[in-house]
Amino acid sequence: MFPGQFEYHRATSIKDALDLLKQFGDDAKLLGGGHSLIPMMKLRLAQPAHLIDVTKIAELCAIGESNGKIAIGAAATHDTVANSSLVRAKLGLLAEAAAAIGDVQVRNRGTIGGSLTHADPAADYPAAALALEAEIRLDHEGGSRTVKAADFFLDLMTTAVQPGELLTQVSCAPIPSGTGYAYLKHPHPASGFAMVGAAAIVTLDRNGKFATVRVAVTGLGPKAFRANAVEAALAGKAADAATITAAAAKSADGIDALADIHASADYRAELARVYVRRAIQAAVARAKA
Amino acid sequence: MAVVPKFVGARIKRREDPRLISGTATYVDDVRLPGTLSAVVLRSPHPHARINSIDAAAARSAPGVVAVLTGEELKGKVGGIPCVAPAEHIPFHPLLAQGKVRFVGESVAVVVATDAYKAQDAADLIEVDYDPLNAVSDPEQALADDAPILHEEFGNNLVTRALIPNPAVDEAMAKADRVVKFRIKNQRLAPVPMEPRGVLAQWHQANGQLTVWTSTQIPHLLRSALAAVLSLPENRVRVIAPEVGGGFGAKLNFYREEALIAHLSRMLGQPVKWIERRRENLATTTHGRDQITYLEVPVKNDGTVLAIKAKFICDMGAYLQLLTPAIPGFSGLMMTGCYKIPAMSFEQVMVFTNKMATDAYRGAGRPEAAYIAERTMDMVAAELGLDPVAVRRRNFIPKEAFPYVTCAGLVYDSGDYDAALTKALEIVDYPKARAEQAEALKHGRYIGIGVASYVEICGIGPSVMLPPKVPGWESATVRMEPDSRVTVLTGISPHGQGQETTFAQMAADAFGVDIDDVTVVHGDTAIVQYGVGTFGSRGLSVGGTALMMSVGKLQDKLKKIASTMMEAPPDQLTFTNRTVALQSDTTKAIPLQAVVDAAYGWKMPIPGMEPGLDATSVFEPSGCTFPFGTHVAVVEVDPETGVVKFLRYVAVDDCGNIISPLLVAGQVHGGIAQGIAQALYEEVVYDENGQLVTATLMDYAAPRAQMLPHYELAHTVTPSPLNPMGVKGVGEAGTIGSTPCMVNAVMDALKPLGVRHIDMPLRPEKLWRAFKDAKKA
Amino acid sequence: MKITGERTMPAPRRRVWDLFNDPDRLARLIPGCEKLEKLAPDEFSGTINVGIAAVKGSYAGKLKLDDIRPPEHYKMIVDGKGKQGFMRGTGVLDLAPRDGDPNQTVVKYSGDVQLGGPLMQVGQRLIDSAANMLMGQFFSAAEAELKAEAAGEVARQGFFINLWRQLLYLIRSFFKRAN
Repeated sequence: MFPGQFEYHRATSIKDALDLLKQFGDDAKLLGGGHSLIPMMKLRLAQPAHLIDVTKIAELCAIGESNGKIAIGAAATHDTVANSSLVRAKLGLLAEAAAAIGDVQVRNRGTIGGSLTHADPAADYPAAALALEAEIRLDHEGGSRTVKAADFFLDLMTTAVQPGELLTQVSCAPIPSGTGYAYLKHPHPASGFAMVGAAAIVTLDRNGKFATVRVAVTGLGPKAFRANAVEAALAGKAADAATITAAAAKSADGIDALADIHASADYRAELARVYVRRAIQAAVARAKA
Repeated sequence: MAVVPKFVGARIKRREDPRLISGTATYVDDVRLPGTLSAVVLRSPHPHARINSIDAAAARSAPGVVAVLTGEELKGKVGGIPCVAPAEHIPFHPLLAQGKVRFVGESVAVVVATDAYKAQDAADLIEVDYDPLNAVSDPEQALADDAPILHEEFGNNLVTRALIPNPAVDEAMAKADRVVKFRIKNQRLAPVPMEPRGVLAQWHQANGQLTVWTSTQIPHLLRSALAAVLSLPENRVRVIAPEVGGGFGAKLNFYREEALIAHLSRMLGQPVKWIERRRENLATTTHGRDQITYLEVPVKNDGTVLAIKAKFICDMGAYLQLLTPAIPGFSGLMMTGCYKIPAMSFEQVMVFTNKMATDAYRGAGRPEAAYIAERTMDMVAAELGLDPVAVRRRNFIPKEAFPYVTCAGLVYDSGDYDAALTKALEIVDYPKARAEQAEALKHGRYIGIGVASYVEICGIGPSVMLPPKVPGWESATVRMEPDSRVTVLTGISPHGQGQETTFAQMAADAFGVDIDDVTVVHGDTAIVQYGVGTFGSRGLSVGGTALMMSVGKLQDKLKKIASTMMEAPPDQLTFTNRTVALQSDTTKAIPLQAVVDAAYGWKMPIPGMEPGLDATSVFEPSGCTFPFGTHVAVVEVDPETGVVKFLRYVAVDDCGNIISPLLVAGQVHGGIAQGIAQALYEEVVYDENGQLVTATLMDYAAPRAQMLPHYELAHTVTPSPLNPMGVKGVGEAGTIGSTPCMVNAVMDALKPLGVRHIDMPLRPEKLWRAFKDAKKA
Repeated sequence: MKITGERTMPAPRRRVWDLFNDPDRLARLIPGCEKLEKLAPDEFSGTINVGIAAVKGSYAGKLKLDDIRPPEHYKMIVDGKGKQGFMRGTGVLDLAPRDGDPNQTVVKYSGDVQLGGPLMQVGQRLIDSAANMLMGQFFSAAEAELKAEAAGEVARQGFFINLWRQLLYLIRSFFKRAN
């Protein structure tokens, strides 16, 4: 439980971080809150020779509004996101997901960039990012690119981030007024991760039918995903209980569900159906309110 | 002069807490000695394997490494870990595996280096060639003829078989209207103290003395055991239990590392430290429970229980720790609970498996017993279609019957079980709760009401109840210092219980001084007279009685001296407000300090009287105390997810007289947390091959605050006649009442489904399956 | 851990069989494989360096084949270990031509593996997914290899042979329909 030897680097700017990444390549790991990486290092399952701490880069910690989007720096802690008045006002779903992560100690250290990059299949943020159609900015030496959340999560703990890239910012269009949203999770009794977490965003038309509906699920499979079948089953339909229940029943279709001692694959799939239904119902209720 | 208040019974904040919550307490790892070396233990990844060879050459020559030891090198140099409880088969328990490993985490080698990082680097270089063997993790399978055998010398995996037969049980079976039969399991739990174990040993070469700082509940017993294993005179061994961050029974033990680190310090002539990591804690600190019980309960149709017959399969793990095979005995003896059940019999089969040893864990055998008794009451009620409360009342030992001798031969000191039950039901408004439950069911809501009336053994206890080397008495020395401040040296070793507060309350009142005038000292064998330790809720009733005996001796002496100064008979004097005063008129008083001055002075007022104010006493209790109570839980189970929602949790505990209400509440809170966690969350899981699956807190579901209900606490007070304070003990009560209470509540919620029993932990998935299966049927 | 699965490979059974018995090519296909040697016709030894996210580790092991029935079946006995853990177990591989299409092979695999050590203890909730992911990577690589091999062969065999094959195929399907 003592990590192997490593060198700690505190990056002072994005450029500094990228330079360090370039210099050390595969031998380096970026350090956010460290809640996933440090335990692995203490068990010596991960033994990076260099740690590049990006949490002290001022511009990575900022949350602001520009070009009609809310932009959140990658090193913003879960607690910062959960309690940011801007995020609460305009990206309520993200604030809800942030507040649902782990416990106070975790939220005080963990960062949004770290969580997304690590892509733990049971992390809370990915579901919110997918439902919000977040755009994820990846900087590299001499430039940057933007990846849609839908294209970001590739497989179990595997993302679109390429060697030499640093996730710098998550941005989302503000949730328009009249939109309902909800993030509901069934926490794992030991880890606090989502055994299943469901994010829903809906708007209703004048006839009470679904105008837009976006649903994302985390915790169920090897990566968080948009529940396309559920969304398709709701599009243009009346927002009544039977329709929502029937649509939510498709939440786990085609997903190879995770299993552990606390929840089998069957049970997780059922939790997904129930939590997706409840998240949609809660979102509909808010959209109506 | 300010009036000194009375402290006993007052809501005093714990005097230990400022240092604990400000991070200034000194735990083992906070003790820093110059030149200390760090040890890292290499552990087996295999549950069962032959060790063909260990190549430590690279480790020995790694930077900073001072020593590497393997089991072979310890042969003939140190003894093994003792088990003091009787058993048919007690295997040799080495400090490092010899020839074979028998559970995941078993220590195989130890590396000592200038720091822990270098020690770990070197440990990574050790190559162990294992020949994996089949392992067995299920205790019932371990008894099969073709099961892999852990200790070949015994020819099978049996630790011991205890049989308490009783022909009256067979007669009861014949007379019964029905016999209720079921199997229940008390799953394996990990104690998870906040502070893991840790050892620092310092060998003083010049005078052949050893000092060991270790996180333990039993410094004196440990000193005796260490001296024996290391072949040292006991007066050359000093054990210090500094701040101990929780034990829950897991530190009522003597571990390999305690002997190993002491041996290494002696071998190397330098201090050596080892601090347990959480993963080691979950794998190599004793586990609790792990008993399967098959029950047969003959009953009359009116709910009268005629007898209980039980067969226990008890999983002891791979080796026997200090008390391992002694724990199940309590489960058997206490399984008739609060009930006047005329006959009982049981068979206990204790078994070796490829797992960590089990031993005491908060309640140690009594939670299992209460679970048996209280599940039995509910199973009987369900079988006969009776209200579980009515079945309890029909079988309760009436309050007139105390002291009551149970069919197992235990003497219950005092009790009024119906009073506690009645009070709990009043608080929860039982009839209303039942009506709400029925109404909710009409709307598809599954509410359950669980009741558990428990009784348990505390104040352990008369020495005859314990194995030979773990006596039941306790010691205390009380000194009044020359400035009239009081020092209490107690033989118990509190590690969170708060006796620095309770003992100070008692001593302060006894001498009429302020609580801040009292200092309670414990946990250092060089300072404190030999004592036994803190376990079995014995601190107050046994240790406190020893304290009051010494207090009484000093009071007598002070009164005698004062009587010569006040010209009043000693028996008419009292201590109040830092004076010795006439009982009849406390304004007629002399300062306590004047009496103390006389006692320490150059001329004793009473010729022939020894100067000084110092008294030591040892109390051997004549019997155990039996605290009791009733817990009631109201829960709602979500049929879609199986999630249990808490609606009410009422605990009425009777621990006799209460010295310190806040401490009692704290003990009950913590106890309920651990008890509910057993019911709903916790389980140490080994897979069928013996691999430990719950090896970190990412998988082992230790409870967090948000996973627990709001507690509504109340008390009835039935003093114990066995000690002058009339106290019983409360360290384990919450744990013992809450587990069956919560399971009964959840099973009550599932009653409409026709479900009678589901084994703990009641994970949501199990409950969801019950709903799903019921729907199918 | 129990692993089961099925993948269809775009090649006739014999080719898939040959590929699955060729250490040099397998070494390229197995994720993280650093070395794979044939010690005997039915025994391999190798090292893989595999990782997910920050967790990386090197494992050395032996693989013994048993119950070999070319080109349809073999059993594997696996024994590997690294600093982060060990695995011991057996697996079974069955190859069958896909119904109605001998140019495709259905590969069924099942395994029963005992895992131990720190990695298993820490990652139990993810081990199944990780195994599935690595299996998926292996089969995708195998699929690409078989496709490339076929393309290479077509190129080697030349235009006329290929034409002749296609003709034969057409004639065969014509007669099938006629029946």
